[in-house]
Amino acid sequence: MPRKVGVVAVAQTKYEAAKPAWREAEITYQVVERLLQETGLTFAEYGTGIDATVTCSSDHWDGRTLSDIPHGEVAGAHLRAEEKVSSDGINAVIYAYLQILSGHYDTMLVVATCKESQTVGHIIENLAFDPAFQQQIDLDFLSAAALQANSYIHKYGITPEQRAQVVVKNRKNAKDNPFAQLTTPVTTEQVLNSEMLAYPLRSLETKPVSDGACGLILATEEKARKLTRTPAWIAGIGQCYESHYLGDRDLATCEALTLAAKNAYRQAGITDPLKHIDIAEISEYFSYQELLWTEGMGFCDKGQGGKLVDKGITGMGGKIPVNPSGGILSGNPTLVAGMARVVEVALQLMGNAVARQIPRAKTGLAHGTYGPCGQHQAVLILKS
Amino acid sequence: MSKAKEKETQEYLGLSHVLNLSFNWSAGPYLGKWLTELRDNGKLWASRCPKCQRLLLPPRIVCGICHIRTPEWPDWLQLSGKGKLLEWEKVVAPQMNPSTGKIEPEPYIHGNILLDEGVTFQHYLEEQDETKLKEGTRVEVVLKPREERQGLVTDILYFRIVEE
Amino acid sequence: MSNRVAIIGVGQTYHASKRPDVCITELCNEAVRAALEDAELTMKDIDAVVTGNMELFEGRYHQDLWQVDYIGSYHKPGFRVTTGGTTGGTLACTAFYCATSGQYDVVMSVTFEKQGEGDSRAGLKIVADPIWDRWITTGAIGTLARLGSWYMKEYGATEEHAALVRLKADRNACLNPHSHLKLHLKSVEDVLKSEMLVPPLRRLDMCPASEGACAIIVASEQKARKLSRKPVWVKDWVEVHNETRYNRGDPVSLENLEKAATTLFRRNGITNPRRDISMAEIYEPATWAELVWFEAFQFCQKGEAYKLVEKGATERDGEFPVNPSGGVIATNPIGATGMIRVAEAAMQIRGDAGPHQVTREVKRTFTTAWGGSSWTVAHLLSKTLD
Repeated sequence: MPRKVGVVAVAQTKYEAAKPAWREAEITYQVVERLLQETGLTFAEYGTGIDATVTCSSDHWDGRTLSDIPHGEVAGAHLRAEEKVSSDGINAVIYAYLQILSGHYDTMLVVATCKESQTVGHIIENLAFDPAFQQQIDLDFLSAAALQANSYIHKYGITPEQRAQVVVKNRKNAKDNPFAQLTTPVTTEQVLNSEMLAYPLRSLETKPVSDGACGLILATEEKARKLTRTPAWIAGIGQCYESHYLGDRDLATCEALTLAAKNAYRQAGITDPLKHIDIAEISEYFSYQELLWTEGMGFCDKGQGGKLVDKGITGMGGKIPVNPSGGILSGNPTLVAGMARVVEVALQLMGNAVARQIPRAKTGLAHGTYGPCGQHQAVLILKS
Repeated sequence: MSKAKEKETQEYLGLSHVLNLSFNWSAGPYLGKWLTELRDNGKLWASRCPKCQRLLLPPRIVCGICHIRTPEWPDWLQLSGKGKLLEWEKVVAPQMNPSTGKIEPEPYIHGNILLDEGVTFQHYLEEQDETKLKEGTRVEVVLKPREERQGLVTDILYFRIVEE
Repeated sequence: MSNRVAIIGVGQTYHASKRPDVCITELCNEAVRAALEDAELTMKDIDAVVTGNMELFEGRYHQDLWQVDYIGSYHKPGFRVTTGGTTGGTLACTAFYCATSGQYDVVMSVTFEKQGEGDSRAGLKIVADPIWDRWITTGAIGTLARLGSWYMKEYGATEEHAALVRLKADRNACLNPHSHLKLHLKSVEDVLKSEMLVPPLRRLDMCPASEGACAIIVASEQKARKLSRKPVWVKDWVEVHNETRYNRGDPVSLENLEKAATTLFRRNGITNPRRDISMAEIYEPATWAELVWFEAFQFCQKGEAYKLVEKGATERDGEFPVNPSGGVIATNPIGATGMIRVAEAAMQIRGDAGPHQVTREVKRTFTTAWGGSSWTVAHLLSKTLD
């Protein structure tokens, strides 16, 4: 019988354009401290408290080899097990989940931190492309996304207004999220008149530079029920890599996401996403991505993502609210973003989302992605 | 051409790249205060873990062993800057400083000093003649003049031997 | 542990100081194909692929993304874990976790380093805190030099003993087709005349920077029995990290190593390590580390290790072989090094390591990975499930 594992506590810092007052690990500790206070858990002997930690940070963004040294130190790594996932944070959650499923641990702390403000993202992102073929033409995730946006728009006739609608929706949602970075709503006009960065993507269609951290504690059923009355159970996971070379891919689709979602849905018994999922937190680094990802996840047919947002299906009062938190467009650092989606879904299922709460949310989908044009995709289903 | 000859004359194409990635790290309230006290007042401080009581140099947000918050300044202990040499390293092989890209002048000696308050600190030693160094040698800190101090750990110039 | 896992395939490249004939991903592909061939499987049989290396060493960001087409993770689940020097050992644990989770049955784990393509010395220097001590750090060399001075002073070992360890490593490496440094050293003098780095550490006392990759394939119990004629069972594994080592009041930090060994031995009923275990592949970045850490891992009393080396007890044909592969001192593609220990130990258990096979029967092995601020990862492999 596979173990049942639940999220028993979550924490996040306010996401800000910069946090010059704090070092990276100090920001991590703010999240860790909250989690320890909330659950009363300690880094005790194996089996009696937090058994192990998975951190999520990037040597590139921290400017430090073994960036998990300081993060691990504040997250209980002394004479204990700690591992670092240096990709999008949702994968750190999935890894911790696998470690508990293996029977090796019962209770795990997972935390992700990034201070984008302290260095230059464009140069780092360029290093993700293979050195001989794609790095030389100065690609970064923005220009790659622009290529994908053009491909997607050209194939399905997605309009600038539909893309802008995603931004308007999410920025409006952010107003009710006390952790969100950008909390001033924007209009379609403002989005469509914002500075062109990489055609067709304008600045308001991209995420801001952001600093922050988030984290959560996972526990087996027996321990989870002692720690909280409202655990959010992990019901399904899926991860999938897409091909690296952009030319190998049909950029107007996201097969890897479909495969990842398929696995997660199968495990969670979801056959009709619109019907079975009450709330989704999706990683939309760019406006068009929310539309494309909803297609990949089967919320609608290919090419119909624009209609979802037109009809308000993904709005706060819609059939499947997407990004009640305000999403990544309202400000999340890279790496933290995917874990923040899990945190937000858990908050919803625990009934703690306050002003942004979706009533009677019982099944939630968290999505994370990293790499050019979402080369790696991951989906995690939570149920209350 | 024989296979062996082919391999000899084969050109292995490589791509050169100098990664120039700039950073601006925050010092945070603990290390930041430590550095400003050094720069502005020429003072050295350490903090103490409220649980295990060990001295923390540098002061930091949490004791990694006890997992609890540690005090912020001024709830710190001022250090005399005096101590004894535990051991030292004479660095002979050339080392590049990754912050400047320049090769450090070598050889140089740096020491591991046990400060009188009971915490260790690593820094340059003034004495570059190893024969004059032995375990237990008394040393004291020497700071750069105020106008040269910038809020860096190298505002400390070195530790010099104290003639007893 | 609720589920059991076995290693059903291992593969590595022919490690060298430079492999200009392949790019990073082709290097990994070599190890992957070797592992698949060893396991007699194809990528179709693999359920998930996990990978890792030292993040910054080759400067690449999200290295696993470029690797996709070369290590078979295309349209498969997987992720990347990076824990510095312990990465290879950690990625073995990652595969073990995945294969015992019930989510994946057959998992491949791939690690590598192509150090000539980056600046690993700078990469190691920036382990240090950028504000506190990056300007003064000498990286691992200083720490390992201090280990040597301390051991000699504490127990009366001499530089000749470290040289004996180096000679053993070279003898073994010369028999290991995959090893990097095959120096054919003849005498203690050959070792002692090498360049001094930070006394007493000489160049030949230190591990090299190698380019190479390693891949292992593991399977959950049922699948392992079905797919492999010689599954190597994974009894247990442990990871021990620590807080930043700012204060070097004690010149030598053995806590992590001791805890790793104690935990594994206690959990698996091992009361006399040198009797209950057949051999060890220890991650030894320097000759001195092999001596001091052999003691820290409780394979002998403190101060005894160098005497055992004198007697030849840790030779390939000795009573307790240590690093019959030649160890890290002969081959060190950092990201893969920890995993090479596991791959080598698995081959020794299977009895097909090749010319460097140990002469005694191998029932159980102890493998470790080291890195970070003295982190330790350790695994226990066994010929049988009991």
